[in-house]
Amino acid sequence: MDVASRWTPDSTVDALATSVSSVSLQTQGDILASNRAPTDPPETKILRDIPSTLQGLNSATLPFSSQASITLPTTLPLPSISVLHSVVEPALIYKSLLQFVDSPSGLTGQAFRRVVDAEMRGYLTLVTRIDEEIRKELQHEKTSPEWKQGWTSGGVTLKKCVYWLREPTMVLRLIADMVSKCADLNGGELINELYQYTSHGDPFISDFANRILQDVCRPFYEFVQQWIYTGDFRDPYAEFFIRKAGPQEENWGSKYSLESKHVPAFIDEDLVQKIFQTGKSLNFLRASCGDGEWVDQHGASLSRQFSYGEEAKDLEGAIDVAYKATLRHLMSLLTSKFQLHDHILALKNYILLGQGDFVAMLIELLAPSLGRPANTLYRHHLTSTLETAIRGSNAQYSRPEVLRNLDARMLEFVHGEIGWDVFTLEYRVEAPLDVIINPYATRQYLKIFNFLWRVKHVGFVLNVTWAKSITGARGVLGDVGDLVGQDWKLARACCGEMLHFICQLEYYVLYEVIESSWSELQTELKREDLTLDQLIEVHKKYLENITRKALLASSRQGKEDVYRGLLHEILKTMLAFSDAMETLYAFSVEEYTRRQTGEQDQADEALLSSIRTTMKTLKSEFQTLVGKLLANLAYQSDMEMRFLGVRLNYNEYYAVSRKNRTTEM
Amino acid sequence: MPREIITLQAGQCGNQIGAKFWEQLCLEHGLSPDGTLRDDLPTNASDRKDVFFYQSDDTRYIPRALLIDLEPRVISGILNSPYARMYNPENIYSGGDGSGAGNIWASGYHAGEQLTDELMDMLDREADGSDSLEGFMLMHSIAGGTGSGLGSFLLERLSDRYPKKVMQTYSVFPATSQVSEVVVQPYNSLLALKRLTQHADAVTVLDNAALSRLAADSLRVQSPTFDQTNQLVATVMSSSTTTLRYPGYMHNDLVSILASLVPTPRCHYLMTAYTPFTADSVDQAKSVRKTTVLDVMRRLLQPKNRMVSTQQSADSCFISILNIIQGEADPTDVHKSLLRIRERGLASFIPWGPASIQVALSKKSPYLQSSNRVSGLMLANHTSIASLFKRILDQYDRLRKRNAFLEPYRKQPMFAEGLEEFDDAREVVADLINEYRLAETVDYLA
Repeated sequence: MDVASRWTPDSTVDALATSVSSVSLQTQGDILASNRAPTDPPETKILRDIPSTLQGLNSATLPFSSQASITLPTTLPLPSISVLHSVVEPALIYKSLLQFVDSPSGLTGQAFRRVVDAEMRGYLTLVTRIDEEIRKELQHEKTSPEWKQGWTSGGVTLKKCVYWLREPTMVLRLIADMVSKCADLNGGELINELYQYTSHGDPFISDFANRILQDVCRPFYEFVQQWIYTGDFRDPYAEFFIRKAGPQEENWGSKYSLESKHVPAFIDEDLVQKIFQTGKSLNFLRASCGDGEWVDQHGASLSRQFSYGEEAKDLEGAIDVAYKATLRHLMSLLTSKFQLHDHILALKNYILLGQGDFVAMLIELLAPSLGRPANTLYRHHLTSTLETAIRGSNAQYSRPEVLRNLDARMLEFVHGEIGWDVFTLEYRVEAPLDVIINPYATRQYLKIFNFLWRVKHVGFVLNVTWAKSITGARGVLGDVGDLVGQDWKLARACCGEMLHFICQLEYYVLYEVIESSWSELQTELKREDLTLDQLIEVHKKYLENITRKALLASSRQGKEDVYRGLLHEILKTMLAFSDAMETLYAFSVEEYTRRQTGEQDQADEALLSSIRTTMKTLKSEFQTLVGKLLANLAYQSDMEMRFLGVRLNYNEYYAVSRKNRTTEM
Repeated sequence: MPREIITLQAGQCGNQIGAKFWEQLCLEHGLSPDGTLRDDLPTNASDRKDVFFYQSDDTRYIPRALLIDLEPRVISGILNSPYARMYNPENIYSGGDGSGAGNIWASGYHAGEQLTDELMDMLDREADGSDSLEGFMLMHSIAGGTGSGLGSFLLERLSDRYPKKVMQTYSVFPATSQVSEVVVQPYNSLLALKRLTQHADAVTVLDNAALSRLAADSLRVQSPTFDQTNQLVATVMSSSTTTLRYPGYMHNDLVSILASLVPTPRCHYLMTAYTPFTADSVDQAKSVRKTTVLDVMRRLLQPKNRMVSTQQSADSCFISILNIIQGEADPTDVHKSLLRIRERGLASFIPWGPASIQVALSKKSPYLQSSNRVSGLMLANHTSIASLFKRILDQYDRLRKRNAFLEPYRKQPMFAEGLEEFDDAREVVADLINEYRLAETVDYLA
């Protein structure tokens, strides 16, 4: 019979109530005992064995039949059996607990086991006293006549034992109940299970629970203390509310996480976050920022012990102090020593092309080589060009720490790709900033760069073509106006149309998207008590805002490819058109030369007509694509994106119809 | 390797404007009148001085400027000013006697021909001194003799010698509505207009009538002095080059500014508007009104704020607009203003291509204390500019019908054989007017 397992908190109350009344009844019963007939085995014999039984040891009369049951002599009358039931209950519980206290567990579990152990030792002390009483009684009784009949004279009886054991039995029952629920639990879960008893209506139970929690919670508080004052993570049994990822986890943001099931119920969410962030930041300060010195100082000056039952406001106050001190220090370290803002600004200036004069120069310097196949490019050429562009622009005034991080390289390329496809700028940050500008963020930056770079490239090519066609009109092109005048008029108008598109797109991305996301980011960064996690998050949000609004991604599934695809096609058409204009230019120059030298050959009508066809086709392709883009933008839920459509079609030159809307490319 | 720009200031008006322009640039870049960095100001790395200046051996900043005049008065004024030491003395040509071109286009032009070698030497030297010359900026008036005639000559030669460089001019047109002190003004204007049409890529038209009106309005004076109107021009010039000198995301070179404004080579005449003129830009100006981005952008569209007086017809429209907004302009405000302007139909555009109000947001010089939060410059290509040319043409026709005042022209080589040059110029200008008229129609490209 497994006594312990039959108990539930509710039945405990009932059982105790009945027991109290039965205690008084049975003491009265003692007086009547002397008239009883002798039992088999006699009470004296049972009494002699009782202390052993109570300690969980086998005896002749009351042998344990298994770990959790005991065999009562079947020869006893029912009332005696009933009394014995009560006497052996603590014995059975004790025996089962003996096993429990020796079971392996984590720190909190060990603390709990020690508490149980101490209670058991208290119980044993009582058993020893009962043992003494029984011995004394037996000694004294040997001479009395009742002894011969197997009865005690009434000093110590089984019923008296029941009386003496009442209180410890209740405690043992409670403990057994707790153990039954908590045997496999550890850490925060164990604490929470025990904590439930503190709201029990029975003050005996709630007081007892509160008392043992003081001890059980000690390892938890020591963990917290360690964590918020040194940043050390000491949790050998994975029992507290913070989890550490394996060493292969590269992303610092995910290195530590909250384990909600281990959060003690008596610590509110806000405080949990503070504890979590404090230690995380300390850990970061020590491990990534190399500022262990400050952490040690912080620990030495603030460290204190916490305990269960301490005034909530004291605890919260102390944690808050540690939290604020840590955050303040971390933020000031990141901004002053590691110049976080400078680097984020540098990323905006170089990777998001904010440093316009540098970008313009870089494009111009690279243009001749980037038009060639990717496999003919040399890394050292790129880096030396980068160097020239820096020196020739205001980029030269950037701090050396910033410029050192800037690099130019090629992405991996496949056969047939040209330099423009694979060129990329790169901005590397070192620890500890790589926690904020982490691999994910770097990929986003790269994605935005590639897009902006492509737009800049097309803009640059169109500008060059424009300049050639406009300055050319003063001379060469003007002189052959009779033959190609109308062609040039159309070409320039289309070039102007494309330039208009590029300008609007660039303005939109640079000002409405990047600049406005940037000012949001600045506001966020200025916030007081920004945690490291929040910092990582606001930076991530900044980049995601940009990629979404810059038509590189979309909140709606499957829409992304529409915009990206359309823009890609539009830009491609522009490049092709610019090529066609170059051909027309070459044709015009040739015609001019022919006329100057007075050659007799006719102009190459076939070539001219093929140029005309190409231009006409490209123009209509371009307009179709723009129409599609506008139709999609018109139904865009994002205000800014819809407004891009308005800008692109400010004078309603393009007819936007719903049927143009594309769902797939 | 900046995209350098060489400025040429020709004639009395050109040199006066130029002097003001360079004074303005000194202020905006924290330079003292001798071209040295002012040490009382904090150094600031956000500007680019090298577009308009180069550094001498003694680290002074020297304007990439040529100062040319056939009479010495204005230039000697400059050389007696605190700014004298700033200019490269080799870049100054000042005619010795006081006669000048006598307000005759043909004399100015002929003087240019005679000075070809000297002038081209100056130009070549300056061009060689730049790494990647982007273009030239000519400041002149088209009414008189030197700016108009010599300016025309320079345009022709530059276009020939530097065919791939951008040619931009700031050309002051005569106040045609008023009676002019120069009776041959229509002749000069017409002849210069031909060169501006054929040899420049972009002409910023400023008209004296509008400048006086604006100056009078903002300064509250009856008849503003040239000094005051020139200050307006300098403000316009400095604002329109601000994105070159304070680089940001976009419009960091002349080509990218002009490319968005001039879609077709003939229609390259730009009008400007600026607001608000305050004590910062013009002394004794009115106290500042409230300036929001919307206020600025709306005012820029009002004809009374334009620096050229044109007559709008029902069909006249914008070919393009670029608003350069300086100061603390929030992109969201720009966005809202554009929507508002579109809703209200405050600007009408060409029907044959996409057109809109493009906006360049630009930093303000940190060296200038400014009482207004936002200021704006509009550069616009508007078809009504043709009405100005039409007025010049009409005045020319009236004068020519009487064959009045032609004698001084016949004395010059170009007209010695006959007056065909006048007819030719007239045809060019008539064509130009026609081109603008066509640009108002949907069939322009047909």
